[in-house]
This record gives sequence, structure tokens and C-alpha cells, in this order.
Amino acid sequence: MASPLEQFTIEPILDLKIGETDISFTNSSLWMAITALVLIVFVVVGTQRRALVPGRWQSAVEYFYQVVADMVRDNVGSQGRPYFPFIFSLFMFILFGNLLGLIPTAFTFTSHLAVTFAMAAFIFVGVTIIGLITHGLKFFSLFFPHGAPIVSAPVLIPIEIISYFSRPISLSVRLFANMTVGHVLLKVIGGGVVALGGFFVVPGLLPFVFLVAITMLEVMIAVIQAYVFAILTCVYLNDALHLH
Amino acid sequence: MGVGVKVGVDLVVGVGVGAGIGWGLDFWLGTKPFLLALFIILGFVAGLLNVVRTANQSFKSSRTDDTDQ
Repeated sequence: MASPLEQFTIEPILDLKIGETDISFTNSSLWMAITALVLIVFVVVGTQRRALVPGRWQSAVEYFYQVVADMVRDNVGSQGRPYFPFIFSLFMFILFGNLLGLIPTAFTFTSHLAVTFAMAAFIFVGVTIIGLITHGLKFFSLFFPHGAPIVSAPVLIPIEIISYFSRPISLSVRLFANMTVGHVLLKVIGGGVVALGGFFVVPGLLPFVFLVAITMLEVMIAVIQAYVFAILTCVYLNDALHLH
Repeated sequence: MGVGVKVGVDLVVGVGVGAGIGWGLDFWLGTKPFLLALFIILGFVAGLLNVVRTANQSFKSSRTDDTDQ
């Protein structure tokens, strides 16, 4: 039987090279493109008619808009409004990537640390630059807790700096680990169904029931992890804009 | 599973980043291995701090959800 990790192999579809750098169009890139396309169709078609009383499709798009708008307002406040389009795109891209990845034979690009870390590193650098632009050198007061005695600075400042630098890593590892573990689990239990003779005989039926339950759990995790990624981006943005 | 993964990742990443910074500073200043040891400890503290912060955050958000409904 195939290894449960085989589903994460990156295969080039179109070989491309610039100098020494390999920029091949892979199955990962293909599914990112599909995700972006599905997302554009979902939002553009949904907002085409702009009816006062929304139809089903428009309601769905408006619901996502509302969720992200509430998240930005609650976590960042009115100053976060200019960053709403970015957070919305980020949330929808990860959410659709996670959900489309659950379709059998699809490739889950969020199960690769390279992808999630690229997003987290971009957010980390961006948020730091936003903080430096808004507050100038006062931004570095973020590394010293408000009201702590000045004597404790040599201990507290390194701790705060480590805590700050661990943000992009924990942000990316969390999404990557959840997606990888989920898909390995699905594959292993799916293998169990096949090994016990398929879902139409008694021994194979038991893991099949479990597989259905795990699939539902995975749909929930796909949504939660996209939400967590977006909400933490909001929290980091809030720290940079308001300093404590 | 979600909360466990969150807390575990926060803690391990703190130690990892601390070790990385310590190793880098050792390499740069030539003080092997003292800063590595020091920063692993600081990284552990930073990891704990991260855990406390995420816990506070989820506690706060779950409490506001309760009052909303």
C-alpha cells in the first residue's frame, strides 16, 4: 500500500528554470491557481447582482464578508480598516485551500511548511514595517512590558524579543501541522477500510464510519485553522498599531 | 486536539527560536556555548509567556461570546 505521506509529494507539471533557480509549475502551484480561481468566481459572481434582498449565493459571500469585518473590528478597531482587504483575501485563500484540499485526489498546499511560512513571514515583516511607520522608534517599546521595573529590562527584553520572533514560526507550524496530521489520518483510516475489504462488508464498515466522522472533523479543522490564522494576523496587527 | 497542538507548538517554538538566537550570537561573538544555554532558558520562558498569552486570549474571547448571547 502507498505511504500515507505520498500525497504530499510535489510533482512538477511544467518544468521552468531561471538561471539556477527552479521555478517549475507544480501540482502545488496548480492547486493554488485553482483556489484563487474558485475564490474569484465565488466572490465576483456572488456580488454581481447586488440585490437589496440577497439571494443564496450573495448571502454566502456577505456572510464571509461579515465574519472577517467583525474579526477586524473586534481585534484591531477602526484603524484596521485599510487592512481589511488583505485579511479577507488571506482568510478566504487559506479557507478555500484547506477545503478544496479535502476533495479526494486534490493537493493541499497548506500542508507544506514552505507555503505557510512564506505567508507568515510576509505578515511578520509587513506588520513590523507598519509598526515602524506608525510609531517610529517608539515601536521598540513593544519589547518592554508596560509598568515593569526598569531593572528587569536585561531579562525581559530578550524574552520579549524571542516571543516576537517565534510568532511567524508558531503561526505557520500550527496551520501546516494541523493540515498534515489531518490528511495522514484520513489516508491511514482510508487504507484500513480498503485492507478490511471495502465499506460494503462488515469489518470494513467500522473504519468507514470512523472515516466519515474524521472527514467531518477535518472540515471543521480546515475552517478553524483558516480563522485562527486570520485572527492571529489581526492580533499582531493590533499590537503593531496600538503597542500594548 | 486544537488547543493541545496550539499550546505545544507555542512552547516548542519559543525554545527553538531562543536556541537559534543563542547559537547565532555564539557564532558571531565567539562565546560558545554560554549564550546558547542562556537563550534556551530564555526561550523556554518566552514559550511559557506565549502559552499564557494565547490562553488569556481564548479565555477573553470565549467570555465575550457568552455575554453576547
